[in-house]
Amino acid sequence: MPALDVLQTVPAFAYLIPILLLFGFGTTVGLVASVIFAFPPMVRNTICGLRAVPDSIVESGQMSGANAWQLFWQVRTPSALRQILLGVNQATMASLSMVIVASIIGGTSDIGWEVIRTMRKAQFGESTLAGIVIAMIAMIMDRITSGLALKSGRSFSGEEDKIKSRKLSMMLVFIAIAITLLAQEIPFLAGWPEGYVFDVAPAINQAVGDFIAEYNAQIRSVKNTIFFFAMLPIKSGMETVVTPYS
Amino acid sequence: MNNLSEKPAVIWSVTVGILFLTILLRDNFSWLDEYPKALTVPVTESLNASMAWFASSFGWIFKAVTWLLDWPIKGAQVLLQFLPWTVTLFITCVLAYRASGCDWLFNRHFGFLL
Repeated sequence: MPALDVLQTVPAFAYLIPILLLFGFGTTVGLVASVIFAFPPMVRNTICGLRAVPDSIVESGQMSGANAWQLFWQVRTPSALRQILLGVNQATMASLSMVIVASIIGGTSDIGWEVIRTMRKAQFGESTLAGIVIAMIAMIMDRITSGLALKSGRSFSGEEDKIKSRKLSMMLVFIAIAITLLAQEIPFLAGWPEGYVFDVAPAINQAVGDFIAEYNAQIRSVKNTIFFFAMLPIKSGMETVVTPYS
Repeated sequence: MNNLSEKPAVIWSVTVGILFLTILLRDNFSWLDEYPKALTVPVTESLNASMAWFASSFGWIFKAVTWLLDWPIKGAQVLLQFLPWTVTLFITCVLAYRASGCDWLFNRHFGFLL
C-alpha cells in the first residue's frame, strides 16, 4: 500500500526521465508511463473488493467443499467483481489523464500531441477542439466501464439468457463484418465524407482575437487592479513586514 | 507522563523559543540565515552514475519489455486504421448498449430475430 501511495503522489513528469532512460522513446514508452500512473487505483480497488467479501459467502463456499483455487476464483472473485471493475474504470480514467504527458515522450501523431502542438503555436481553437475530443473519449469510456461495473453481479442470467446473448453477439460480429465489406464499395462507410467536415477552430480563434481586441482595456484594468491591490501588497508584506529584521 | 509528546505546551514553547533565538542570532551566524552549501548532500552525481550503470547493465530487460509491448500497440493501430469509421462507431455503440443494461429492451423489440 505505501508503494501505491508513492506511485500515485510522485508527479508524472518526475518518472518520465527514468522511463526514457530504461525503455527508450516512442508510443510504447507512453504506454508504460500510463500503466505506472494508472495501475495503483486498480490494485487498490482489487484489494478492497477481495477484503470486503462477506464471511458468509466464503463460508458457504467452504461448506460446499471448495478447494483453495475454487474458493478464490469461483467464490471470492465473482463477489468482488463489481469493485474490481470499478478499479478498471478508475484505471481507464487515470490513463486518459496521461494522454498529453505521455505524448511528450512518445507522441508523433496522436491526440495528446495534437494538443501540445497547437498549444505551442497558440492556436486556441485547434487545441480546444483536441481537448474536447480527449474529454469525450474519457466520458464515453467512463460511462461504458462504470456501466459494466454496475451491471456485474446485479443480475443473475439463466441458461436461456446466456444462449440469447451469445446469439446476439454473433449477430453483431456478423453486422460489423458486413459493414466492413460494404465499405469497400461505398466510400461513405469507409471514410468520413468531406462534405460533413466543419472546422470551427478558425471561428473560435477569430472570436477570441476579437474579444481580446475589443475588451483589451477592461481585461488590463482587471489584471492591474488585482496585481496592485492584492498581489503586490501580499508580496511586499511577506518580504518586509513579517520578520523584525528584514 | 515522561513522554514528551504528551506535553504539547512544553514542545511548542521550546519551538517558539528556538525560533526567536535563531532570529536574534542570525546576524552573528550566517549559517543560520542561509542553508550552508557544504551541507548539501551530493546525491545527484551518484544518482546519475548509478542510473547510467543500471540502464547500461539491465537496460536490455526493459528494452525487451518495450519490444513485447510494441506488438499489441501495432496490432491495435493496424486494426483501427483498417476498420471503417462506421464499424468503430457501431462497436462502440454496441458496447455502450451492453453496458447500459437495457438488454431486455432489445429482446422485447428484436427478440424474434434470434
